[in-house]
Amino acid sequence: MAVKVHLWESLARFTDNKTELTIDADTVDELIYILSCDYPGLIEFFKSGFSIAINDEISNPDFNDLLPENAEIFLLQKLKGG
Amino acid sequence: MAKDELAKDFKYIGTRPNRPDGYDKVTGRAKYGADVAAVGMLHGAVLRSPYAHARITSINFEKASKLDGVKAIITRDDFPVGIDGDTLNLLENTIAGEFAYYDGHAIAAVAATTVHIAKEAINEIEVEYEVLPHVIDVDEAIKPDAPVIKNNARDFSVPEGSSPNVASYIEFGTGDIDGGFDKADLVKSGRFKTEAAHQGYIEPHACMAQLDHDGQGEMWVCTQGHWYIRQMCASVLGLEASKLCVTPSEIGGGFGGKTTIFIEPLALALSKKSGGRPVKIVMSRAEVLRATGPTASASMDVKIGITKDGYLTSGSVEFRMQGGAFGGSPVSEALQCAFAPYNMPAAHHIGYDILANRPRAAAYRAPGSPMAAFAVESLIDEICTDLNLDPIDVRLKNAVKEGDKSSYGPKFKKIGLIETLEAAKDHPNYSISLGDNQGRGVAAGYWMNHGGETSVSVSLAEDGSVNVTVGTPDIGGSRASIALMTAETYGIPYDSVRVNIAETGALGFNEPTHGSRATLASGKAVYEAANQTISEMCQRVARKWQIDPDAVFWENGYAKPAGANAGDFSPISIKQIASEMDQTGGPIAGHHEASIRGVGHSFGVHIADVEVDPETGRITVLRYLVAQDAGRAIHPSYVEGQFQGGAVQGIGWALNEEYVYGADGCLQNAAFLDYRVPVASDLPNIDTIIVEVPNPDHPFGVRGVGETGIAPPLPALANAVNAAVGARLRSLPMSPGKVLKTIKTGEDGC
Repeated sequence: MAVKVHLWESLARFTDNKTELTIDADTVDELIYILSCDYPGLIEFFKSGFSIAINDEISNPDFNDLLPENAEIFLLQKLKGG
Repeated sequence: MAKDELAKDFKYIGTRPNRPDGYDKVTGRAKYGADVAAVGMLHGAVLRSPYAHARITSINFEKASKLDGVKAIITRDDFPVGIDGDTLNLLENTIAGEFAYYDGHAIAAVAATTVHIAKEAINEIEVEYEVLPHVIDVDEAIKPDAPVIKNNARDFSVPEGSSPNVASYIEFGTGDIDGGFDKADLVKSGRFKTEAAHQGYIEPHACMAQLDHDGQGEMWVCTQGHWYIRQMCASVLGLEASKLCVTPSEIGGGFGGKTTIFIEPLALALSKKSGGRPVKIVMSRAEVLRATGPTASASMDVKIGITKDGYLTSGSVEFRMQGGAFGGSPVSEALQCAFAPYNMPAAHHIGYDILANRPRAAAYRAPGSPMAAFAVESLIDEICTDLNLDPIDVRLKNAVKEGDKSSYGPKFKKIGLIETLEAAKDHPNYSISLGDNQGRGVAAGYWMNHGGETSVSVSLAEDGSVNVTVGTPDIGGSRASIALMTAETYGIPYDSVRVNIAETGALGFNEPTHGSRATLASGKAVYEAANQTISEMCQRVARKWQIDPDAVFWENGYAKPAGANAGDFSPISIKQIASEMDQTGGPIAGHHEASIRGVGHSFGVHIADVEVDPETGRITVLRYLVAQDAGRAIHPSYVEGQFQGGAVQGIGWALNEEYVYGADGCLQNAAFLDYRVPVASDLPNIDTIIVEVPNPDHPFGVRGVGETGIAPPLPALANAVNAAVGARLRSLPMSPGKVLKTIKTGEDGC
């Protein structure tokens, strides 16, 4: 499945200055694996914890989630609350 | 769930029954953290650093250990080594290693047979310090000559060349920023500052812990999240999490400040060193203020462009927030909230998380959002004043709605900002005439809300009443709201439901009651678990009637045949089904575990009227209105309570509350006498409007209501003060002296 991944600008220095990437991945796990292989600088971001928005649904990441075709994905800093 | 189903009439949801824990709490029977006791229990006390920054060169507790009644003394040497990452930060903040990083940082702890002996022993511990330079102010901390608090504190995100006191960096945006400013008729910018504020919960932190040498232990803790406590304590002490059982006490307020560890690992370590005797530690108010986690202080630059008819064209922010000596300020959340209410063609955000010699920041109600709102909503008000535009009309013109892209990326689903603005504008408070030195301020606020990891169970008692077990401590009436949703799901009376808050062994992992998630997430999970039991009851009735399970449906507490073709059977009540459980297959219970999705974003709009005494600078809040989209108010009284509570904390933050440090870097106002939270006599009646634009992704339309309400008061009051006396304060708190200075000099306080 081809999905579009949006990254915040502060991560772009790890992705050749790209803030939008098109990735072929079927699951969140595969997506993170591919991003980590292609852009190792993102590994620390993933390790620090993150939230994900898949087609505008923001949640904790579920690595087994299937990604819909042409899904729009935002990787966000992990949400906290009071 | 179809959206039209959300509009149906409810039998229990939306009613206002007494809260199940109310009687215990008003009679004093409820057990809070400090009320817990056990046979053989010892009392703990903590020695804290008197310096803002120092190297600890020696600790001698020989004299202290000889006092009668002293059973254990611990220092950092009693904790594991080889820990890194954020676990090391947690441990370092719990008890200092080589360095004390802030006034109040724990150095050592004692367990003794009485509190008095423990405190006496603390005074007998001899510590030698090498005092080091310190830095308190967030802007001072990133100057080239600022003391370096820690080497290698920065994470992966920090660009090369940044100050060594920058712990993390974030940048994001959308659209053509410069092009947007070029299209504007007015571009305005400003710097805004807020001081650190404490959650100010009434109940100080307290815990009792027992830990044996085999690593098995128990804790009773005043906390918002006992799985977090278990996880963090196990990490810093090198324990297996499952061997630690943590039970939450009732909680006298948390507001985010009780989602992490402070004294809990100390109590466990003291217990282990004293041979497994239970150890209780109760913080004093001074310890709470000096050594727990207030929110960050902030310095913020904002620039906004707007057309003369009130359409925002572009906006940029740079937020610098100090989160204490270990980082952790809510700068990323602040950035996400900054322009969230507005559909702007372009927005750009930069944030720095900065170290300072202060206690480690913890979450505080909508972390980061109040600071962001103060900066952005104040500047929007300045723009409205300059262009002679109505502040609510400008917000209506630019308000986000369903399908709009948020300033941080994802599109909004169904949201209710426009409805909330319209409700506020229609309220009588917006048109009441004002007198001399009186002014009205308006501001909007936002919180994204959170689902999070959740585990619940539901079981039928043999008489047809229902037990619900959740892992989210009740800090704002969630027992009542969860009982109402359960009653609605089954169609049984509210009084037939009991909601229990379970210890960590009883359920799967639960995130704390944070992020406005308890009613949303536990409520959604309970709905799923209850429907499991309803399905099981329908199956048992189908077997009894010898028909297909699909031919049985559930309505108002009864299993009924689904239609004439199903057969002619009399409905069977939940009471009868429950009474026959032992003869129909045994207990009936359901459970649900998930990372809950379907959160609903929440927006609020506040209107504040103030009077400013031009001779003293004193601000009196004359009247106050909170309008907020709750999605669905399950128990309207507790929704109103959350709205009012958020407003009160925001009023305190705006007018009085601040951490005051001396030149020595020590906190000067570590008592409620000097750290002044609002009391009832400081406040007007706070009117509320519950706007209900149901969240389509929650079975009852819930959004979460706990946090949004603290964001708008900061700018609403600053805007009102400016309207009253023409004094624009860009620095909080707006204490009388500061207000007077701004009136006289026009300086904005930054």
